[in-house]
Amino acid sequence: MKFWLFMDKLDRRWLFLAIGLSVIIPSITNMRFPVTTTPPTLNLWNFVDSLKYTKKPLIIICDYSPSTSPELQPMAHALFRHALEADIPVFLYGGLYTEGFGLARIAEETVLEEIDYQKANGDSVIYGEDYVFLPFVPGGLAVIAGMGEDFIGTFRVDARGDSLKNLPMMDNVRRLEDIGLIVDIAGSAVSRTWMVYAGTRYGTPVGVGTTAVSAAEYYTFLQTRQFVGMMGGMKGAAEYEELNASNLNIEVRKQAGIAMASQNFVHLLIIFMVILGNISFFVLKRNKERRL
Amino acid sequence: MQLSTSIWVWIAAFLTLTIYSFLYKDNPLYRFAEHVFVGASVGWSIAIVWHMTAIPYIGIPLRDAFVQRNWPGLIYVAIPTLLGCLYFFRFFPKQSWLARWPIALMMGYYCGISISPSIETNIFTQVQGTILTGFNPTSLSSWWALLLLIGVVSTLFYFFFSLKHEGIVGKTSRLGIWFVMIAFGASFGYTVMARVSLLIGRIQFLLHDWLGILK
Repeated sequence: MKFWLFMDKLDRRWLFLAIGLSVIIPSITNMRFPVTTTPPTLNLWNFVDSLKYTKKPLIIICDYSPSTSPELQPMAHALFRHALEADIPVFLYGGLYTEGFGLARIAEETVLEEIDYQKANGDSVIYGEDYVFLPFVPGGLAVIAGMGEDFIGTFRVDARGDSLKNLPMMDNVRRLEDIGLIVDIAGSAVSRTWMVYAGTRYGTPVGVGTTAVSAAEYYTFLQTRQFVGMMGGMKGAAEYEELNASNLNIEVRKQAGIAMASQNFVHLLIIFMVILGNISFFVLKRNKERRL
Repeated sequence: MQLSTSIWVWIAAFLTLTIYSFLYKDNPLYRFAEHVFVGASVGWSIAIVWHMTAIPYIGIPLRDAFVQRNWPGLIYVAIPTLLGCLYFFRFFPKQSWLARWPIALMMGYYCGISISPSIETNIFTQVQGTILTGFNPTSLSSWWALLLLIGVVSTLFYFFFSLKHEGIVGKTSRLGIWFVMIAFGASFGYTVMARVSLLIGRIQFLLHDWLGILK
């Protein structure tokens, strides 16, 4: 009984410490766990990869803020890396809100520095031919509607301030129907906005990268194929990194992959705590009833 | 171990540690970091909106139209700008009704553009997804489809309040609760993963970017 009373009165800061150590120890001891790929991520990877045959551009949308970037930033990196290595023309876009612009910029810089502006096949990455960085444009939903009718007219210039008309990648892009796939990476319901307007209204395939919190909700749209695939949380990002590594022979730091060991340890700890908490609750309840 | 030489990484590490100091107890350093975060977020948004909205979409077009004596072009930009400025009348109680004009305009636009695709995406296609087009007892996907159908129907019964929940309606709605509870459990599990991911992200930053312990 002493143990259960001790557990009942345990200062929650000890739990914070235990969770902190469960994250730190697997990280510094370089523990690695195998990452198994789930169908939603595999479907997304395959769809992105199929664009290398059609040469239709991919739009990577960083519709998130720094508060969700630990989960979502590795997705943007993995997707951008995949598109560059597979020779898929790609638009990097900060999304409908202001915060995403800076995070899309970080994705651009990180990936290009990692591969040293050179693809695995030896070709250099050329701005305007391999990728274009789109600027923030105000208007929310109106921006999607604008892209659906007149892509160049909606943005006019790229994020560097150069006219979009002069970039070679724009030769075959007039409106959203010329886009091969939109992958919206977001920690909010904005992915549904892209699905409703870009997907349903303009018929452009839409995929999603989302925080684990939203992933459960999006399975319903995967079932009806309104999302072609999904990366759900850090695990989804780790799966995509793994697919890149095994299919494209890319040797880079797996930002999400190395976090999986910590993720597993914390989950085990939380499961243990939930079981212990429930036992404690019933034992103390029974003890109280006996005393009455 | 290779400590970062970037001052920005040190500042970010300091702010991360001050935010986490709240786990021990509330303190002035935590509140300092909290205020810096709010201020920086607002400052960033204002800067982006100013440089990427106000200047290119209002300032430059108005200036160009004025210099070129293009009066229709000037009106084309000035009218929506003035309508947008009406939002600021919310700060003046007596004239705050003026803010309703741009709100009404936006509501009309968004309703017009949203109704049809929203219904198609969220209702028609989703309902279509629950329809069984054939059942093959040897196929696992057929059984999943059947389970989905039962789940949707029983959950809808749970939220159907026009009939008393007794008899067949009560039993079906009770089954619906099970599906709802399983969905909550899945959401909770995912939420735990999300929150842990945020902690991992920060710890990785401290160990990799700041201290250089992680490769």
